[in-house]
Amino acid sequence: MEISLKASFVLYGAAMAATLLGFLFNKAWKFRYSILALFAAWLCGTYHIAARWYLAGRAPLSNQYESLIFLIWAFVGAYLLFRHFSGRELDWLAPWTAVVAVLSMGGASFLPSDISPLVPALQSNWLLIHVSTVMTGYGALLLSFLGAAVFSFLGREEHADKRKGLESLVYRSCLVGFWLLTLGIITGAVWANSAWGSYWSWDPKETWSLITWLYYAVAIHLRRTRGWKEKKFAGLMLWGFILVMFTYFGVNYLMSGLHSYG
Amino acid sequence: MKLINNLASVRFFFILSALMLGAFLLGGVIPQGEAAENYKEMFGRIGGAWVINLRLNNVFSSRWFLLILAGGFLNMLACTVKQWKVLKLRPGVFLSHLGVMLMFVGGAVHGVFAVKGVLAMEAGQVYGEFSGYDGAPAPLPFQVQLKDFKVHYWDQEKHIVHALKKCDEPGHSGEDLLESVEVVPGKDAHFASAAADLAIVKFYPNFSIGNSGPMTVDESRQNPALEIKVVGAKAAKPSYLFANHQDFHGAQDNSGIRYVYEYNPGRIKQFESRLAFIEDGAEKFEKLINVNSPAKYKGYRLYQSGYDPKNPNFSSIQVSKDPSVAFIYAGFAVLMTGLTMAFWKEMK
Repeated sequence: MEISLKASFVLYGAAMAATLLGFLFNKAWKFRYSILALFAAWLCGTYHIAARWYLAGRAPLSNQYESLIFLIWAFVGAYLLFRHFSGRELDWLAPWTAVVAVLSMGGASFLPSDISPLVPALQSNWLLIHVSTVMTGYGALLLSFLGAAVFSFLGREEHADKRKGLESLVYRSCLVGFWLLTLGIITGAVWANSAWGSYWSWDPKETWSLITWLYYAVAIHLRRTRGWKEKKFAGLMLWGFILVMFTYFGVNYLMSGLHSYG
Repeated sequence: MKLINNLASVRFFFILSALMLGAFLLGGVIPQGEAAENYKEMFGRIGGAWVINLRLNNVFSSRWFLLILAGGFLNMLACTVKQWKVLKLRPGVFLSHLGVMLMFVGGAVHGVFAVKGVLAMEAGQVYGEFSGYDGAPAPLPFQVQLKDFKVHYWDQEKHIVHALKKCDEPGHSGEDLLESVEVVPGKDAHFASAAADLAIVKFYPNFSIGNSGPMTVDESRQNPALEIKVVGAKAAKPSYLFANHQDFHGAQDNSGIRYVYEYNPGRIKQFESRLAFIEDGAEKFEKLINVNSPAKYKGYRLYQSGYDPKNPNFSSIQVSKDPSVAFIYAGFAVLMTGLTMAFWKEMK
């Protein structure tokens, strides 16, 4: 099982290297091999998650390590999906996607990766539904963040085509992320009601999820009603992802609550 | 009409959103529901007093926060009334707003009609009321009896004894681990190494010294200790090994080997209560409840919420009767439908 994760890490590295070599030797195939390596890495990640699921006898979403591995998988999957439906205009984002994946996997390697049995509160099918929805949403918002970060560095004149494709990606991945985040909060509320008899407890994780949700709702409204597009919207996505990261990591380490085991 | 336009304006939405974000941040950063003294410790005497006066210690039930929520509801309502005309053009946006509004209504219904509290149950006892969150007793329209309570473990607790020998090498003052053996109270523990075998006489879950000597205070594992004897030793006086104080007391055999006790608590798999529901003196039905699987009867839900490690016959049950759930769930469904419709159009 661990070999599949290492293979995934190496292949993400290969996706970066393919583009770098392509640029160095001025080859036309630079992005093609990068995307192939990215897809192979994602398949290895899929195998790793499936194998861990089989070995643990439950969905591998019960702690920070497992959820982060799933988030990386969802993020790369979201990029590949958007790339598939957008034609080849997002090919050049593949090495950047790989950079984020490699860095995140490096971060995951510092977390405890033991497979441990579930505490009573997590023994529910809602674990799979709630956590996978939220993590996939975070993955889409991470893609929006990456697109926004790259967008902010692109020159207006010389990269007009790239900017157009990227602007669309930033907004659409934000919509997907927001939709999934909404569903994630809802499934969490339904689960909480079935486990504790209270759909909302103002637990720190719940409160920060609501802060994140409201922030993205305002960002979408600003774009639709006040025309905040391109650089302004990219700025909103950059700040928004800081909130996502605090909700995901910060709350776990700085505040105790009902989500303390996650 | 001007009032509706103002209430439905995007500017009002942004102002309310900023206020809500501010309130959420305050509630998310300042610990909620703590004792007044704690806030004085955290923010000083004057700062702590301000926290209490402004209800920053209970942001989400404060009047000013409820006022912001009421503003949010009015904004949604006015927006929905306005968008009624464009229902056919933008049904997704309309439904999303309607969904959030239903949740506001649910929140209000919850505030007025929801009944919640705790039932602290002892096995065999029958209860006709529970304790509300304000501490006042609240009656149930039936009686409920805790027939029995069980804790299940993924793995049972383990007692491990480590045999350590002082390091012989010059210049090294530490100890070498010779062997670790899992032991069972009441049985002898055999060591394959140079360490002498031990008789594990007794396990004290919460060791203390009483009038008649060593005793256990209760069944909680607060101060686990083992009473042991070195098998075959002439001075077979009992010794005590303490999991929490491994350097205290302890036991040594004749060859200078020291024994250290490690206590591994079992990992809890599930805890569950068997409840009997009684009406007019007759038992109506029985239900086994655990975390994630509550019992429902006459609009009330009973949730397994906790237990007492010191008392194996105790079970803590959360009681809830909340008519707002229907509004909230309807709001969820309408919101998701609305967002799907609105975003689907844009994704294409």
